[in-house]
Amino acid sequence: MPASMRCTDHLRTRSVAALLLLLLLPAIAWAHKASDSYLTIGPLRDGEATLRWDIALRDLELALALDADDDRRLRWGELRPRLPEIVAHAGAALQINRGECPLALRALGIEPRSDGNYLALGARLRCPGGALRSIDYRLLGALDPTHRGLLRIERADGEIAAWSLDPNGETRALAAAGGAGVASFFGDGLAHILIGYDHLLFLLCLMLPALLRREAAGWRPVASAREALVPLLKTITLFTLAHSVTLALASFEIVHLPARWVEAAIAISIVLAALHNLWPRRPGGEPALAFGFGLVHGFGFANVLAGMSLPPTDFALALLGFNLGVEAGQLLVVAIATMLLLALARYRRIARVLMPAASFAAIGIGGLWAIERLFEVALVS
Amino acid sequence: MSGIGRALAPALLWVGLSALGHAAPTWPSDDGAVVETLPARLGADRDRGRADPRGALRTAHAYLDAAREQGDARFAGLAMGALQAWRQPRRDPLEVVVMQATLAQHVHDFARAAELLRAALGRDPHHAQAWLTLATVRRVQGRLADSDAACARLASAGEAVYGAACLAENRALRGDIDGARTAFGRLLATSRDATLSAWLRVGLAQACELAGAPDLAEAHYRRALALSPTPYARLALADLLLDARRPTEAESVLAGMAPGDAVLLRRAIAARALGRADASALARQLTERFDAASERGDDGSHLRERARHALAVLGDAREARRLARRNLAHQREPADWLILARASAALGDRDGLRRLRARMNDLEIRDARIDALH
Repeated sequence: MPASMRCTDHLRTRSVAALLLLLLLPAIAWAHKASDSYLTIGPLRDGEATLRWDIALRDLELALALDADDDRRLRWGELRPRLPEIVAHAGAALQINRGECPLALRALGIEPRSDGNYLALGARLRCPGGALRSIDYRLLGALDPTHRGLLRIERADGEIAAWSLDPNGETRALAAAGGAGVASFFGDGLAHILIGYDHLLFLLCLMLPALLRREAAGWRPVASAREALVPLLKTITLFTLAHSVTLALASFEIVHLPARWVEAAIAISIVLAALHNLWPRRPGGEPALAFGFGLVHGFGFANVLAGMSLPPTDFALALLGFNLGVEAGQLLVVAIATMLLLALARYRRIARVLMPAASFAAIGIGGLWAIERLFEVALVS
Repeated sequence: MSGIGRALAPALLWVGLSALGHAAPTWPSDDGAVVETLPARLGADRDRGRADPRGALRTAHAYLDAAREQGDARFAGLAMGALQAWRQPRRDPLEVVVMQATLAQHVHDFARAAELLRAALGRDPHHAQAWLTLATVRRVQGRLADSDAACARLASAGEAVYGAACLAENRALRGDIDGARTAFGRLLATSRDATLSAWLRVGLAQACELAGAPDLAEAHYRRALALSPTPYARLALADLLLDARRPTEAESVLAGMAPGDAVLLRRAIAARALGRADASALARQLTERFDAASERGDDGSHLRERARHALAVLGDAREARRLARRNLAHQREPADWLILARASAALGDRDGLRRLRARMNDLEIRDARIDALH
């Protein structure tokens, strides 16, 4: 064995010994608070508001190495000449309304807080259009991914909306702070269903049998749009009802299911719906399937919503907005798919091939997703 | 500034800010005035980023050590930050990926940790550290069969002692106390390293607790502490003493520890049991800390502590049960089952207790302390 390899083995053994105790610790090792900065925006009046931003000196030292003599005691004489640089650094890390509200930050002084001293910055915000729409927060993201900007926006009526800003996250919509929260979360819900392929695939599987009837001789297109629409309406309504119920139950933390199982169950629901199309045990059972698995899909929506950390103040409204967005997106897709399928169903030959082909494809895709989610592997990147 | 003061919740300050308008910050008058005392600089290698994985790993290790010793969450964040330049676990340096997994586990992101470890092990199936970490993650998740498999791979990767200890821990969880004790005893007899012996002894102590033998467990915890007084073992012993209604002794075990949330929680329980005047102040402080964590949006990793706080300090069993249920979706160590079982028992929720036992049974987990509840 070459000497270098023996050395590696030796190192590995030692690192195991050193890490063992680390591994035991997370169970109960608890901490002082993590790094946060505090942003407060006062009530908007005539398009103007005050901004106050407190950043820990410890954090600024990390970003800008303020302790010139490296004695680990930051003196006023070391901090003072660096203030313009600090203000510029902070200013570059914050954008409101995508830069439309210019920020003229200035240093206000030192503010003692429970976990150390903070540098207080202040600015007068002038926003054309008179609304706060979005915030882009980038402070310290490169150094500490767990850093958060804790934002509070005070409204003229005294209500306060709070947000936790991830410096490596997306630009955050602030519409709720202006009272337009429902609209903003409506957009999120809409986007989620439109890019949520798994929900859409499940819906499509359920729609197929409404448009094509199984008969002894094979698949027959429905005679009229009316014949198709009644069962379709029933299926979609029950799906909506079911997922709305579980979305609410999960969002208000009345029921909690592990995300991994929910995601896997959603994938499995696609496989089962497609299998039902090919070999129905109970023909016409789509509404029941839609309701049963709708319950599961609702938990999936709730996981997305949980990831968006809704403002606690307008939680119910935000939830409503999100759900309405999901329904609107779903309706849009259902409408388009219905028209397409009705048009295609006129051609008997296509109809005969479409049903099994689409169902087998759904089984394949759903099955892959189920394996990926159950076993936490990536089969297709 | 005292540790307790440092960790006081920002929520309080916000309340202050809103009530008073903005308190006016001030400038010092003297250039020599110290405006902040800074921790030692650990991130010297930081800026070289991807060019220097060894330097970044050194930095990450140094920060993680600091996070453990000082119970300061900032350091865990900085450790993660040091390795942020690497985002492709299938291609990045292996040691970086394994360290990222260790950090993910440290902040209770078990799914992420497992994902990283699987990527690492797919590339090097003989990486002992990765198997050991995976075994731990799976155990915490309550996936004992997967944990066993990882322990076995650890042993065959040339770490027989750790592999055997790893399997013995799972045996203890399954209620095979004799098997676990024999295994730990054999390993202890041959161990020449104090840190390793202390670790094995803690494992043995936990096995005894699960088997309903607190006296034996206490003796093993104390011998482990004599070898190496880790915060983990001290907290575990304090818990045992609190359960045995010996709060004064629990307090003396905790004496001198940095007042992180875990320490504060146990002090609050002890103070309440002793009916001391500072009990309500400690309870309030904890509530504020947990609220501050929720405000950041990362209350998930505090759920077990919050549930215990609700049950043992605030006496709110209903809230404790709610939190403990959410916690169990996340982590499934003995303490996680125990807190839900105790909250359910306190509410007289026999049905809940029965369902909990059934779930433990499904996962092959046994705990005599829970069997004794009704």
